[in-house]
Formats: sequence, structure tokens, C-alpha cells
Amino acid sequence: MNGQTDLLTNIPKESKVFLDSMIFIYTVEKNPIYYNIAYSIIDGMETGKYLGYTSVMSLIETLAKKDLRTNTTKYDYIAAFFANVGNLTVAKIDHEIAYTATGLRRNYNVSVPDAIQMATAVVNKCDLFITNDAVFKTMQPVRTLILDDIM
Amino acid sequence: MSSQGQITIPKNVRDSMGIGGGSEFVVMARTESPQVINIYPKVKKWVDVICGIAEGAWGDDPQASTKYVRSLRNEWANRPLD
Repeated sequence: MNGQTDLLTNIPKESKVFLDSMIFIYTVEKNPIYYNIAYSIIDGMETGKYLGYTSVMSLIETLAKKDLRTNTTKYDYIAAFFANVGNLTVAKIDHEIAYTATGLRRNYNVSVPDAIQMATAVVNKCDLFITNDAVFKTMQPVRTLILDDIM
Repeated sequence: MSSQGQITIPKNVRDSMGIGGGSEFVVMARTESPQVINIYPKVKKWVDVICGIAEGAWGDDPQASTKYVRSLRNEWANRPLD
């Protein structure tokens, strides 16, 4: 077991964990590679092993897929999930997150959505940022776990 | 709907879903067109509601959804910092 896997399996109870968009997308699409781990991350959050945080950006990126926009039943169920699943805070983009994202965008030259995701984790004092995007390897004000690094 | 905002779920629906007095629900409103009010029986595990609900939506390539998120974010990154 490598250190990155340890990071995921030994998340201390009541830790604050930021979940990037793809964790939700892998779950709804039942991704053949990442589904099991994505499911276990969300299940762990819902059953109270840790507190989940994400941004409204994740909600947009999950629901923006055309197939979902045209299938209102699936769209509504996923929207209901984001509104009701236990132990998940879907953070709005407020002034503090905007100012923090501005600094991250400037310092790391990342895209605005990347900066907003990380700023949301910073402002909410998250202990861990889970994603599957290597971009975040260069930007780690919050300890970051890339799924591909533990597969 | 009553003047107090109450509605009655038809008996055949209650029976078919096994719901009755004391059952709890989640109500979600879609305010944009087409307007919809959804009433969901209280769910034990939301993750089980959504898992696989959009299977295939991102195509057959297992990396397609990862690339999709990156492409959305790159829409904002086509120019250098001012």
C-alpha cells in the first residue's frame, strides 16, 4: 500500500474532505475504472466517516452534460442528491472564495474553475482534496490525492 | 392543494410505494421551464440512488469523463494571465 492509498483509507473521522467533480461523475456514470473508489469515497462521506465539501462548480460540471440536460428524471435525481445527501456541503462562490481563487489563479496560472475548486477547499479548511486531475499536483495549498496515483 | 399548501398522495400511489402516515419525503422544485415538483420518499443512501444513473452518458471511453471536466475548465484558460 503506497502513501497515497494510506491517505484515502486512513482519513481521520470528522476530517473535512473536498471532492472534485469527477468523483460524482464517476459514480453517476459507473465508470469502469474509477467507479468502485468513487462510490466508496461518497459512501464514506454519507455514512459519516468524514465531512464532504464541494463547490457549486461540481454541480454545474456534473449536470452540464447534454444527456442529463435532456433527461429531466436523471437530472432531477442528481440535483436531489446534491441537495440532500448527508455530510456534503455544496459551497457557493462567495467573496472570500472569489478573493482566494484570484490569488490561486495568479500564483499558479490555473484556470478559473480549478482555482475556484481549490479556493473552496482552502476557505472551508479542508484537510484533503480528492480529484483525478494532475493539474492539482502543482497547486497544493491543501493536501491533494489524485485517484490515478493510487490505482 | 388545500389553503394550507397540503396535497394528498392518491391511495393507489401510497399503496404501490408502501408509504403511509409518518413517511418522510424530500421535495425538490425545478423552477425553470418545464416547471416540476418532485417528491422523493426519504432515501437511506443517496449514493445508491445516483450510482449508475447516467451510465454511458460520457461514452465508452473510461477516460472520457476526466477529459470532459478538463475541457470544461480549459474553456476558461485559453488566454494567459493579463
